[in-house]
Amino acid sequence: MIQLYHVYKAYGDEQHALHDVTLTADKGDFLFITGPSGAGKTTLLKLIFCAEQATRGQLLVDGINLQRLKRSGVPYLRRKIGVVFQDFKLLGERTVFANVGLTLEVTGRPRAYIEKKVRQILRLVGLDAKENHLCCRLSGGEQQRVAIARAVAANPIIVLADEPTGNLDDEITLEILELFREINRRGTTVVLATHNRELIGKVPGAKVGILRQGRLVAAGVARQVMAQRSALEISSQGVL
Amino acid sequence: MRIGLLVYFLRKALENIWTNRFLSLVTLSTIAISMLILGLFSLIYLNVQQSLHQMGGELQITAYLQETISSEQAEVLRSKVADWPEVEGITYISKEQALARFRSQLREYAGILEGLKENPLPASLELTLMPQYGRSGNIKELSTRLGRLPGVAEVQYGRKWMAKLRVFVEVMKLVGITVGGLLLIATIFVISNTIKLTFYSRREELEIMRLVGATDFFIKAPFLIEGLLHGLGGALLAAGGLSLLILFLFSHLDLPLRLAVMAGSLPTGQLVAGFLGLGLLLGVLGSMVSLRRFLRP
Repeated sequence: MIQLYHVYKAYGDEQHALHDVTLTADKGDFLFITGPSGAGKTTLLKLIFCAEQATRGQLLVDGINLQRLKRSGVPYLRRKIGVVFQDFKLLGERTVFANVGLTLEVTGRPRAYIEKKVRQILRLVGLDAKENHLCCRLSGGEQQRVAIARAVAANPIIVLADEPTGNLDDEITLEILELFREINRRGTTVVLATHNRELIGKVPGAKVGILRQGRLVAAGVARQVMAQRSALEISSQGVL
Repeated sequence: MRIGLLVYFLRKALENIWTNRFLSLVTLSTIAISMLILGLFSLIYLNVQQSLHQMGGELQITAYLQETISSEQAEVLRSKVADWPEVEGITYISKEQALARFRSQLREYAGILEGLKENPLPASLELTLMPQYGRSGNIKELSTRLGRLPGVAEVQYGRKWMAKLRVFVEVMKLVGITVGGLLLIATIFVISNTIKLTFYSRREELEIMRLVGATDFFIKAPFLIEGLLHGLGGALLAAGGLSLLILFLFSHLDLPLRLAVMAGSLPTGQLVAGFLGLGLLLGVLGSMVSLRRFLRP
C-alpha cells in the first residue's frame, strides 16, 4: 500500500530531513511513526500525500510512483488518502457539517449523497448531535473528531494522522486512538505519527517505524521492536 | 459538465460576491463607467461614420435656379447638363417639390410651415456624379462651370465640410481606441484585483480544499464565474445607462440637431450585444490574470 525505498528529503543545502528511509505499510496495517521532535515524522507524511517531493529514492502509494506523478494527478491521489493534521486545519467559522462535507464537495458528489454520508460519519465519531455547531466553539477533542471525520468521509484507503493526540488529555487521547482503531478495523491503512510511545502498546498488531534525525533506526512489529528498544536502553544504562 | 456541479460553482461565485459585496459594487460601477464611456465613443463614431458613408455614397451637386426661370427653361438646362460625361444622373426639383420634401423632413413639426404666404424655396437641379469623377476631386471645376450657366443662381456641394468631418471621425477613432484601450486594461485590472482579494479572503478554505483533493479547475471555476458575472453585470449597467442617456439626449435636443442625428442610425442593438460579449471577455480575462498567479505550482 505504501512503499518507501531509500528515500531522502533535503531542504536546500541543509541536513537531510529524511536520510535513506526504507519502509512499507501493507493494506490494513496500523503503522506508528515515532521519534522525537524534528526526527522527520511530519516530513515523511508530507511525502506520502504529495505536499512535498522526495529529493531521492522511490515512493509508491497504492502502486503509484509519486516521483513520476504529474501535478494534475495529485488531487486524485489525495482523494485516496485522508489526512488528520496536527493543527486540525478546520474552518472555524463553518459548521461541523460543512467542514466534513468539504471533502465530498470537492469530488463533485451530489448534495443528497453528501448529506447522507456526512451524517453517517458524524455518528461514527460521536458528533451527530453537533453537526450545526461552529467548529470554533468545539473543544480540542471534538475538533480532532471533526478532523478525523473529514479525513474518512471520502472512504480513503489510507489515513495519515500527524500527532493527532498532541494537544489532548489522556482520556480524550484514548478515545481518539480508539477511533483510529475502528477506522483500521474497517480495512483502512492507518499511519499515525506520534512522539507518544505509550500509544504504540495500546494497538495490538501494530507496526512501528522509529525515526531519529531523519534516519529510520528501527522498524517492524511494534511489540517486538519496542521490546528490543527497551532491552537496549536497559543494557546501555547498565553499562553507564 | 454536470448541471449540479455548475449550480455549485454558480452558488460559490454568488457567495463570494455577497461576502465582498462592497468591493463587488465598486467593481461593477468601474466596469459600467468604463464601458459607458467606451460605448459613447463607439456610438458617436458609428453614427457619424454611417452618416458620412450615406453622404459619400451620393456624390451630389445642387444647382439652385433663379426665381425667374420657367419650367421649360429649366428642362432645357437639365437636358444640357445631363449630356456632360461626369454626370451620372440629374433630377429637376420644382419649388413645390422642394417644399413638399422639406415638409416631410420636418415630420410632426411641419406645422411651422403653415403660416408661409409664399414658397421661399428655389427650384433646383440635383446632379449625381460618376464615382470615378468624384474620386478625381475635380468637383470644384464642375461646379464653377455649372455656376456660369444662364439661369443658375447658386451651386452647392458638401465636399469641404465632408473632408473636415472625415478628419473629425479619424481623430475620434484614434481617441476612442486609445481611451477605450486604456479603460479596458483598467477594467481587467479592477476585476483581477477583486478576484485576488476574494481569493485572499478564502485562502484558508482553498488550501484545505487542495489538501483534500480538489483539482485546480474545481478551485478556479467559481472565481472565473465571479469575474464573468462582474463583467456581465457591468455591461448590463452600461447598456442601460447608455440607453437612458440616448433617450435623454433625444428628448432634449433641438430640432435641427435631432434631424442631423437621425440622418444616421443608432445601432444600439448591436452595441448592447457587443457590450455583453465584451463584458464576458473582460470578466474571464480579469479572473484568469489573478488565478494564473495564485495557482502556480
